[in-house]
Amino acid sequence: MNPTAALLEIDDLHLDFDTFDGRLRVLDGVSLAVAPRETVGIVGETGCGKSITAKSVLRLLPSPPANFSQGSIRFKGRDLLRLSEREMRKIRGLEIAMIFQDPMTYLNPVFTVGQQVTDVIAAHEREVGPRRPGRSALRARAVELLRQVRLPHPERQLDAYPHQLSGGMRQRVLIAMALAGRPALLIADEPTTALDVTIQAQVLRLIADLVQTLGLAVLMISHDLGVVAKVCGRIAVMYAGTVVEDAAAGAIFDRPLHPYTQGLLKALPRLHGLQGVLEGIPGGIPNLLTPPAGCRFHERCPARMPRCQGEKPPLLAVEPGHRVACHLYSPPAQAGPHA
Amino acid sequence: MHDAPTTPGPATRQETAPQVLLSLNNVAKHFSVRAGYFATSPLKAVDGIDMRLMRGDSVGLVGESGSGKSTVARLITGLHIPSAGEIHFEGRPLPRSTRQERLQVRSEIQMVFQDPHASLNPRRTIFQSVAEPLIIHTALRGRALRARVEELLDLVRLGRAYCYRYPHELSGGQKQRACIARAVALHPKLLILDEPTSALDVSVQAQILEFLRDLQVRLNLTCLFISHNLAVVRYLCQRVSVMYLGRIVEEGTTAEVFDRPRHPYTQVLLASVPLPQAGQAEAPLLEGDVPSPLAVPSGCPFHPRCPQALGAVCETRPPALRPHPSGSRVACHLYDEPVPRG
Repeated sequence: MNPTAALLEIDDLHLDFDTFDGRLRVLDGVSLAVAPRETVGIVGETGCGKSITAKSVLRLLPSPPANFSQGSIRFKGRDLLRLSEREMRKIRGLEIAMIFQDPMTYLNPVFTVGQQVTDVIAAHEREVGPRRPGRSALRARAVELLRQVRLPHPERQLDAYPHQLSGGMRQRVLIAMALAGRPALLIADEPTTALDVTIQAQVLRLIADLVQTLGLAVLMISHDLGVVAKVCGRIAVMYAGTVVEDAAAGAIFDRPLHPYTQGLLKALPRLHGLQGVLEGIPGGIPNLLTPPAGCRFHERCPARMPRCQGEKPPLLAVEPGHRVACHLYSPPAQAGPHA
Repeated sequence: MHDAPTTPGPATRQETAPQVLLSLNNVAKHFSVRAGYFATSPLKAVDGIDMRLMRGDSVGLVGESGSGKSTVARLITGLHIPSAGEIHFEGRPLPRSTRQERLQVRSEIQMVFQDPHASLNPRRTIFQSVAEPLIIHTALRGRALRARVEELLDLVRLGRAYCYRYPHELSGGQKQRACIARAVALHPKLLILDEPTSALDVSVQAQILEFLRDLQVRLNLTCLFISHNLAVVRYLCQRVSVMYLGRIVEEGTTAEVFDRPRHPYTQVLLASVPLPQAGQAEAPLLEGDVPSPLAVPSGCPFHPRCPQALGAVCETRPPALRPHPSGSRVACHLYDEPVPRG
C-alpha cells in the first residue's frame, strides 16, 4: 500500500459524539487508505464504527453531536473535513457516491424510478456545467444507467414505482443513481444485507463487474466476512472504533494475526465439511462511554498481556501490506511494566 | 400407525411415546389477498407439504423470503389454521378439539422468535417473563417458582443475577438466552426456533449456537430451526428441508443435502452463499427474482429460473417429493426415471 497514491486516505480519525450521558469516543484513531481502482472492505460487528467511518467520508453525520477532534480524511489530496458545505456538494455523488443497506428507505415511494434517476442526473449536470440537458437526453441517460446495472427492461421500469420492484431491483436502481455522477469511489454500506442469498449473489457479482468495467474504487462495509470476500481485494477489520487489522483478503482469511480477527473467523459456522465445536468470543461489545483502557479488545482477548491494559497498540505493518494493532506483534515499549 | 417396533428404545413407553412426534400431511395454507375493490386472489404461502419430525431430531427448514418457512412454524404452533391437510402431533390431530387440550398442546410446543427485543415485554423483569409460562401452566408459586426460574437462567448461562433486570439492561445475546429459558421452562416436546440468531453479531451468534447444541443434547429436545442462514442449519441440524415458494423441494440429512445437493434450486442456493475465503470460484447465478407467491408459476414453481429445466414436463406437471437413492427426497423431474447419472 503506497500512501502517496491513495485516492482516499483516512488518517488517525477521532470522532466523538456528545450525548447527555457524556462523550462517546466512537472512532478512536481510524487509519485506512483506498487506492484508485482498489476494492477495500471494512468488517466488524455492531458498534465497531464501520458505518460511521463511511458516513464520515461524505460528511453525512449531523454536528452536533458529531465532533471530529483529530485526524483527516484526504480525498485526491484535499482534506474533506476542511471543505465548505458548497465544496462538499461537488464531491458527493460526483466524486464519491454511496449506496445503503435498505434500498426502500432511500427511494421516494411517491415518485417513479425514472423521475428519481433523472433528478439525480440533472442535479449532477447542474453542478458540473450550465448546460441543462433536455428531457429525452435525461431519459436516454437513465436507460443507459439502468442497463449498466442489468435491470431487466429498463425502459419499462422507468415508469414503475419503487414498491413495484423487488428488493434486488431497488438496490440496482440505487446503484444506477450512484453511478450517475461517474464517481471515482463507491461506498457501499451493507448493500446486500436486506437481500436473499441468491439475489445477494447477483448484486455482488454486479458490483465486482462494475469495478472491472468502470475502474471504480470501492469501499464496502459489511458485518459478513463472506460478502466482503466476494468483492474486496483488501480487508480492514474494525473493533470498537479502531482498525485492528488491515491486509490483503487472502492474508486475513489464511493468516489472521489479530486475536479478534482469529476469533471472528473461528466463530463462523462452516457450510461444508466437518465442524467442531464453535468458539464464540467471550463477553460482548464494550460500552463506548466507558471503553476499556489500553487495547479496547483486551477484556475479551485470549492472548492478553499486562501491557494491553495500559497501552493502546498502534497499527503497525508487520509485513508489507499487512498491518495489525496488537502488542503481540509490536516491539516492546520502553515504559511497559513487563517489557 | 406410528408405532415403530423395530427401533431400539424403551419398549414400555412405545404406545405413549411413538417415534414420530410431528407429521404434516399435504398441509397447505392459502391466504386471500385483496386484489382491487371486490376481487381477492389466493396467496399460496404453503402449498402442500409433507414433513415428519422424529423425537430427538433437530430439523432445519431453509428457504428465501416468501418460501413459506415462517408460515409452517405458525401452522405448527396453531397461530394459523391450515387450509388443507393435516398436522399430527404425537399421533393426534392439531388443533385439538377442546380448549383444555389446546392449552395443553401450547405447553408442549414452544417457540423462540427472531427478535429477542420484540419478544420480551420491556416493562417486565426477566423473572416475570420467564415465570409467566410456569404460572399459567403449573402450580409453582413463591419460593419454588423463584427457584425454578433461577435454575432456568443458570441453564441458559445467563445467571440468576439477571432475575430482576429489565430487557433494556441486557445485550441482544442475553435477551435471546432469556427467551430460550422461557421457551424451555415447561419441558416442551417440540421447540421451534425462528431465525434465533439472525439479529445477533457473529461472535455472539457462535456463543448461542454452541449453547443451543449443548441444550439439545442435555434436554433431549426435538427442534425445528427456521433459518435463511445455511451454515447455522448445518451446525445445528441433522436433517434439513429446503423450501421454495411454499413447497419442499429437497429433504434429507444435512450432510447429504449440503455436500451433494440434488435439486437445482438447492445447488444454486448453496453456491450463492458467500464464503469467508479468498479466491472463490465464480458460482452460477440464478436469473431474476423469486416469483410472487400470488402468481406461482405452473408446474414446477422453480422452472422459470431453473438452469436445468427440461421443458414441457417442468412447465406443466408439479414434481412430487420422491425418495432418491441417496436417502434424500427430491421434488424434481430430473430424477423422474432411473436416468444414468453423470
